[in-house]
Amino acid sequence: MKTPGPVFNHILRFLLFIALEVLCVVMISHNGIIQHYTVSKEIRNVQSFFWEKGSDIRNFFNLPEINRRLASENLSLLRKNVRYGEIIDSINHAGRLVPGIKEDSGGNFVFTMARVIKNSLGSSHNFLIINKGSADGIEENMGVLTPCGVIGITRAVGRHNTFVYSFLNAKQTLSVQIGHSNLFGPLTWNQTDLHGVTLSDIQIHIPVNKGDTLFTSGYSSLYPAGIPIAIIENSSIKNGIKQEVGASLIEKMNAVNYVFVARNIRRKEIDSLGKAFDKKSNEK
Amino acid sequence: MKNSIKYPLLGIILLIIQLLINEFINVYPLLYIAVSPLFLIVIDNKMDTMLLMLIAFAFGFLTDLFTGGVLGLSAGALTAAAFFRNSIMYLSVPQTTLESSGSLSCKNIGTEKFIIISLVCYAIFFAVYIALDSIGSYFCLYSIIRFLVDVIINTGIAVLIDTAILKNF
Repeated sequence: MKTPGPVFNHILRFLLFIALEVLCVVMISHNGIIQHYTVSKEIRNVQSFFWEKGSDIRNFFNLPEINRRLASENLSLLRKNVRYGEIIDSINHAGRLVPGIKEDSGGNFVFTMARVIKNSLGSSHNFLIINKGSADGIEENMGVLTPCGVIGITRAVGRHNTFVYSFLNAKQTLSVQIGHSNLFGPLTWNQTDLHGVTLSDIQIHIPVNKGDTLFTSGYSSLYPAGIPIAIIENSSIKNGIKQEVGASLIEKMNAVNYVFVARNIRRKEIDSLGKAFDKKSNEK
Repeated sequence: MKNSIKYPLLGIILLIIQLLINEFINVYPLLYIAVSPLFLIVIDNKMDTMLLMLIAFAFGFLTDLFTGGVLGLSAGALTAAAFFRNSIMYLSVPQTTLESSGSLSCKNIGTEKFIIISLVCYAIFFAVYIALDSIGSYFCLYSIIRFLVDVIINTGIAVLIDTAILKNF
C-alpha cells in the first residue's frame, strides 16, 4: 500500500491539533463561567456579522420590490399633495371648499404609475419609454411627472408602452411659478447639463433669490400646480430689460425609475373652451 | 523495563503527583506547579506527533477531571505542547543522540539541552494555559508575570524530578 507523503502528514497533524484545541475551547466554554460568557459573546458577534451580511444580500435582491413600494407611496403622497393644493386654492379664491374634490382623489388629476424602461439622455431631443400604454388608460398629450419633477409629455401610445417626449428637449417649455409668489415664467432646459434649466422673461425689478424653489404653475392642463421642479442657483440681466434665472432640477433625470402619468379629468372641458374661444376670435 | 509498561506507569505516577500538588500545595497565587508537561518531554522520542497529541489530550483531560479544574484547560495546553515537542526536540538535539537514546532526560542529552527543551515546552504549555484561562479578562501585566514565574519555576522542578526520580526509571 502506498504510504501518504510528508505534506499530507503535516496537514493531518495540523488538522488534528486544531480539532483538539477547538474541542478544548468548547469544553472550557461549557465549564468556565467567565469563559462561557466570553466565548458566547464572540460566537454571537460572528453570528451577527453573518446575519447582517445575509440581510444585506436579501435586501439587495429585494430592492426592486422596495422601489415599487416607495413609488406607490409617492403616488399616494402626490395625490394628497395635489388634492390639498386644490383645496387650499379653492379656499383662498372662493372663500370656501369647492365641491367635487373627493377625499381619495388627486384633485382634478388621476395618476397612473409606470416604470421607465428606456431613458435617452444623450441628445438635444431626448425621450423615454414607459411600460404603460392605452390598455392602462394612457392617451397622447398627458403629463408625466414624479413628486419632485416634470418628466415629459406622452406622444406615441402603444397598447402596453408609451413614448414620452422628455422635458430635456430644446423646444420643451414649461410654465413655472417662483416660490409661492404670483410670479410666473417659462422654464426650458439649458442643453448644457442634465439638471440645468433656465427661467427667462423675468422682469428686472422682480427679486429672485438663490435657493428659491420653482413650482409648476398649473396653467397647463398637463400638470397639477405646486409640483416642485427646480432650485434657483443664479440670475443675470439680459439685454438690460429682463432677467435670466439659472436653476437646477430637483429630480435626477438620469436616475428616474418610476413615473406618474397625470390625466386631467377636466381636460376635455378646458380644451373645448379653448376651441370655442379660438372659433369666436376667428369669426370676429 | 518495557516501554509498554514504563510510560503508562510513568503517566499514572505523574498524574498522582499532579493531583497531590493541586490538592495540598499552594505556594503562591501566581504559581501553578505542573508536572504533566514533563510526561510529554520524557516520553518515547520516536513517538509520532499525532499519537503524542492524543495522549496529551487524554492526560490533560484526566488532570482537569480529577483536580476539579475547568475541563479542557490543561488538555488544550498539553495538546499544544505535544504538537511542538518533536520539532523542538529535532531542532535542539542531534539526530544521532536521539537515535541512541530512547527518551529525553538530563542523563541522555545533557542537562543544558534538557533545560532548553523543557523551557520551550513549558513556555508553550503556559502560554496556551494562561491564554485559555484569561478568556474573558484582560491580558495584563499579571498574566506576563504569571507566565514568567510558572515557566522558570516549573522548568527547575522538571529538571529536579528528572534527575532525582526519573533517572532510575
